[in-house]
Amino acid sequence: MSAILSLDSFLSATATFGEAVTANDNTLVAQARAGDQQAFRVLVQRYQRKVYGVAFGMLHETEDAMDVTQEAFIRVHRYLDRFKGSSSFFTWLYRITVNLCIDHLRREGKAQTVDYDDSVSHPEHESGGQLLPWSMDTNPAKAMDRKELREAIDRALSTLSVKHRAVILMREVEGLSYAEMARVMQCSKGTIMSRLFHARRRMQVALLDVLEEKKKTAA
Amino acid sequence: MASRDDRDLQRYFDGELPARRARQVRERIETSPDDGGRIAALESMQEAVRDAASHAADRADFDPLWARVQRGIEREKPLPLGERLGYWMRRWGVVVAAATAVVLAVIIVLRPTDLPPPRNDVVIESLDVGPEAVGTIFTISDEAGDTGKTTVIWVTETSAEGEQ
Repeated sequence: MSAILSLDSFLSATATFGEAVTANDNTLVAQARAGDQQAFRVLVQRYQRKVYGVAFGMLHETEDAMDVTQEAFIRVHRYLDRFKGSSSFFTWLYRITVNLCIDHLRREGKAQTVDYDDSVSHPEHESGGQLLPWSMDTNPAKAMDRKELREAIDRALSTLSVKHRAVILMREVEGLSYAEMARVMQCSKGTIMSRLFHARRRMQVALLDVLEEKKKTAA
Repeated sequence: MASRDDRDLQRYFDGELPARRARQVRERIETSPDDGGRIAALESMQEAVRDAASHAADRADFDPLWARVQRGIEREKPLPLGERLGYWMRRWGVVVAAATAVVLAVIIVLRPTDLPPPRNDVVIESLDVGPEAVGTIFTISDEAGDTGKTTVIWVTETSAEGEQ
């Protein structure tokens, strides 16, 4: 009898969990706000990779990235009542994650404090400020193996300011729209566009530098 | 600042151009190898950044994450008053006791020692012990000198000597 009851409660619990897994974010947020731990667990599992991906891209340290991921979800839980659903849960979670990363880098003294001012003209970028076309022999993605390319990407990302790093990761990895990124970074769409342009341009230059180094070493 | 063409190329690549403008840019890309190369470069870099992020997430161990998050949430929950007090006492009890002891010690050490002599609020002008007794008033200074005095009234019965 007790075995049947246990099985029943197990089936009921898995059914609830199953329903939660397929529920949309806003429903899960509402359930979590009402104290449903399973609903919050589903949100954590749904976004843990994405949050970690951004945190790692920003911090380049596995432990720090995991700490920030953990802290981001704890903060989300703490402020669930403040989430009104005017933007997506995902955007809100990203804002918290990016801010935690920026705080972490500032605390560690690793943040480039002088961010590229996107509102002013930069002569050094005026002259060669175009997006770079890559040909077969100047395409880092073709000239390096995957491991080398990953390392090159990490190095290139680390040359960017934290805000540029954040927009690159949000756009390239998660495909956030300009409007969503503007909400995350609390700035205008124009600023996002400008940051993204300069971040991409700097990434390209940094990747080409790595490629040049590689060619010199090979020669 | 980026040129308008470059800005448009980027917005086209990101799917942020209105349909009509996007069509114009697409036509330009098809006829310009240079612009085609720029778009290819953006695609290539996007793929590489995505791969690097995905690789980092693949290597991460997410199994303990939920337990860590849960512990963090539990820590934030307000405890019942008794537990909070107990926790508070465990955490700060020794510090508070030590601080209290220091404050008391300071008060004792700094308290003034040359206090003015106590005022004699009661003045005994006369003593009526009746016709059968004799009354005597003694004033005895304390050990501390002038800081205090004790007054003794000694009554001696004339019929039964020594009773007080």
